[in-house]
Amino acid sequence: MAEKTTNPVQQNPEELTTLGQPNDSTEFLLPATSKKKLRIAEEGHEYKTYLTKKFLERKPWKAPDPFQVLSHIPGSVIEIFVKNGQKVKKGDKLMIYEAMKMMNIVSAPMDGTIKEVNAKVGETLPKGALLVTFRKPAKK
Amino acid sequence: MSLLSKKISELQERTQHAQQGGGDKAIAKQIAMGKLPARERIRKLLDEGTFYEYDLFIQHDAREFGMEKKDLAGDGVVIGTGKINGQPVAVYAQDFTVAGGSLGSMHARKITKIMDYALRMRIPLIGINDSGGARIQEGVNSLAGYGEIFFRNTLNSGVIPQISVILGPCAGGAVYSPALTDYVFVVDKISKMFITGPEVIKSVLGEEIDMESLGGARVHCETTGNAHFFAESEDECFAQIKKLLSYLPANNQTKAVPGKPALPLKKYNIVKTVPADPTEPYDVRNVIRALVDNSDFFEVQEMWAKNIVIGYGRIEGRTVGFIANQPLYLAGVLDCDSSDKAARFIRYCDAFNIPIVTLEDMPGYLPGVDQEHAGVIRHGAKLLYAYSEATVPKITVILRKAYGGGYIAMNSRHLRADFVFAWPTAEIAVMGPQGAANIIFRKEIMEAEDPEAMRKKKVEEYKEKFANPYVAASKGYIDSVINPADTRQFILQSLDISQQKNSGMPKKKHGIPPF
Repeated sequence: MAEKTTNPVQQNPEELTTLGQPNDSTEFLLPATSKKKLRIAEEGHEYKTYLTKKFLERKPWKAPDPFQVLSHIPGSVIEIFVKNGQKVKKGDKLMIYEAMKMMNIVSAPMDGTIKEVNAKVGETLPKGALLVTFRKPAKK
Repeated sequence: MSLLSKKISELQERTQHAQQGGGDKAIAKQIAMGKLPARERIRKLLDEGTFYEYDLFIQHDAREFGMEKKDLAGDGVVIGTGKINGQPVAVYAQDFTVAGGSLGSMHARKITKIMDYALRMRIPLIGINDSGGARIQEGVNSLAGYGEIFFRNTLNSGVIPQISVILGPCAGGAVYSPALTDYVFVVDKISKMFITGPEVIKSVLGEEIDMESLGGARVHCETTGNAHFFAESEDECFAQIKKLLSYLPANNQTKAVPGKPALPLKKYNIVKTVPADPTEPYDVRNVIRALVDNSDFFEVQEMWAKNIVIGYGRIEGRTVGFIANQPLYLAGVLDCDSSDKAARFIRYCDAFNIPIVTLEDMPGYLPGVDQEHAGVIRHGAKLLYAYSEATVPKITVILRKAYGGGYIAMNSRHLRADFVFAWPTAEIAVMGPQGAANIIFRKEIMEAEDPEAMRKKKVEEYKEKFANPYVAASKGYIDSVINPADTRQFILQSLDISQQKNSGMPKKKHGIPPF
């Protein structure tokens, strides 16, 4: 929980990095000396709070690339049905990917052309591995 | 003009004035955003001519910041009662054309009034959300309004069906009313739900994201699991609501109005749908379609945690809730999200007297660091809790794989399933043949001249002995091994037998589920 100190913000003894300023009156400051504490300066008052491990280790959000087909589960590639440069329709079988005692079918998420088949037959892959890349259509 | 007709024409004038909402300009703007005005939405949702509006002449009571001079028609929300499929419902719709549908104290009081009506009359409640959020000028009174709504959502939960329709922004604290209700409907490009918007996220964390990727309809259907039904248009959304309500009872003391009994369509052949080879995937929804009247299966949360399928169908006219592992996605494993999804649905069916049919074909819980650290123990426990606690008729059909902890969790006899049937293709065992043979025959395999050949031999041996339904049948853990073609017949007779089912739970205030 945040603890409130009644003293207005003085000259900060620690060096602070600004984490962000959601509005004019509030500022989030991360002390350089200890990455585990967060100080929130608001309207001349200062709040101190600890950060959780989960917060510090979080991965920043990245927009997913719709032209990449990724594995959803750890498993291995059994058979590949497509080649580089091949045109496919949405729902066409791209490969058989064995995981959890099942010959899973990886199918095309869209109509398009295969830019590259990134996985190889026999490979054992983790979750989130790149299987197939689609070619980005030229901008009209 | 007589005095009476004068009074009546005054009423008409006042009504007309109040019903114009935010005025022509604001309504035109609403339509330009691809959205319908609030009363139009209600008109389209309800059976024709059944809507009766209340509290049309409500005035807001803010006296600060110049608000006293403002006239807000109906205080930005329309409430009333009507009928859907001929059955009574209570409804409210926030009117974005009036002060951005912002929630002030009288606005909230209208909503809580219709919520109280719905509870008293034991009829479903439908809320259409389209609001910029709290009315800042009303300060803490606005927050009080939200709190009163949340409290009633919780009070009504499990007594009457509560449905939230997100047809515009629904941000900040306002999101928690939909989250507390049973079903959330969203429409592509119109619905937006989030606690903090893209601007705050950018300024605090430096992460750049647009509104649609943060809290659009698709995100809530595919990623967060907050929403249950996705529609391309408002009309499609209203049709989905009508369809959902047709499966549900008006309250927890009754049963759903039965549909007209019908046979499944011939094109769904249950025997041909499921491959005998347990490593071959198939769409389990086609098995459900081969079991239900008219092959009409109404799926819930179709786009989230696709490795488990939940939804409604009818068997001989009676509503049944289906839960089925989906081998087409993630091999049909149980994981955090699929356990969450199924557990909540089980509790829903149990609360509203809907029998549950479970179709089982899954290799177990998904292994992996991310699952363990995401709390698969805690989430998986929800499934066990929900099945164990449910007292409605519970029927399980094991189609193929039933391994390990997953076998127990998927409404096994041990969690008090009323009927457990297995197909001859069922494999009920503590784990898959590969893993089991490696452990049990570890020494023999290691010491063999050709370990690989010995491993294969032992896997085959294990398969032969244990990967079948007869070991479990010999212990009475399953009631019958059945011909797949007779599955509907077996489910039907189980439903008939268990119509008056009465199984008591020990007296308690409430249990402590692994929330």
